[in-house]
Amino acid sequence: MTGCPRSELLVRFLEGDLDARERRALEAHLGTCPACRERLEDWRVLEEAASSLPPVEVPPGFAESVMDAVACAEEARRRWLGPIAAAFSTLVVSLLGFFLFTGTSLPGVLVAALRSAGSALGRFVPLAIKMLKVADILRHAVLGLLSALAESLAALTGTVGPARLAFGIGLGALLLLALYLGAKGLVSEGERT
Amino acid sequence: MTDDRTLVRQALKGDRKAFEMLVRRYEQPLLSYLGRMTGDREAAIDFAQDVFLKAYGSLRSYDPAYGFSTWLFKIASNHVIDHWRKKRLSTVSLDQPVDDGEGEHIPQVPDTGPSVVRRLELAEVRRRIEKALQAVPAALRELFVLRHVNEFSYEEIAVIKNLPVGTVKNRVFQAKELIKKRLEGI
Repeated sequence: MTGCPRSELLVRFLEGDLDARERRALEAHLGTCPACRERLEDWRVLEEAASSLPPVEVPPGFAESVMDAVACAEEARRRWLGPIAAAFSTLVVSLLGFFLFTGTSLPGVLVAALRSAGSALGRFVPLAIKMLKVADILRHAVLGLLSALAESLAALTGTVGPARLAFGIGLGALLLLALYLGAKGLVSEGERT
Repeated sequence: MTDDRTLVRQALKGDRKAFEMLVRRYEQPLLSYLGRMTGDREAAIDFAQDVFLKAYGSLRSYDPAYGFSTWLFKIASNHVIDHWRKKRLSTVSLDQPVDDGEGEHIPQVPDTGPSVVRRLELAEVRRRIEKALQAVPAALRELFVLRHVNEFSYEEIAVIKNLPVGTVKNRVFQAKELIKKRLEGI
């Protein structure tokens, strides 16, 4: 070893991170250099102190408060799952009702609904992209309105309950679907005559 | 004692007690890490709760090939970084040279002069390290804390921070050098 070693080498020596050759060379140097022995001792004290820093005290009841928060988060998740399940059930029941009233086969209703939805989506998606760009520009202005709407919806949910609200939304969606299919049927009948 | 992976499996089956055991096992190491990263005990408590909640919410993404503690601290580290970004606090890029306020830090210079460290009681050295730690750039401080407070191996820290092991070793050493310099100046 030529000259005194860098501090990094001393630290790696203390951590047992040197290979046999490096270790032997350093030990030989330390045997002849009191200054480096002192430097090594400094690093040893620092390593010892650094590795025995006191832990931060955990406040009493911390784990319980975490578990309460976990329970709240799960409850919130369940609150969303309920309305979604209710809306889905409403749609299925409504489709069955539509089949019973009109006599159209259920697969037919589903295929027609899916086709209509697909065609509507095909038209809607490019329009939506453009609208999103505009919406981004107007975002700041619309934000206040959305916030008020969200508050109203939350108030409505609080008053009528999430299941009823979802039922109402599902029924509304079905009504729109029925209107659309009916109008389409009338148009095609008109074309035939 | 039930191992972490078993507890995670049980928690995934809906056993909340199993997750609570994990919370109790890691609350102190996590708080010790977050306390040093935020420098504020109350903030550290809030952060720790957020980290455990995030961990619970994404428990399905835990890969048992890695240690649970490594995964948990990865979440904690990302949480701290997100907080800093939101607060727009400056963090030191791990690719940039570290400046300790006295010009660019050059770790290769051998230290000389009489030792302050050895003249002090160990408790006093610890107290000074805690004080000096808050002046160390966050990116270096984090690696130092993970190594010396949380006693992760360099390899584990490399996984947590997604860095090469050599870089982690070098950065931990840089943190130590900064601390030593400040320690002797306090």
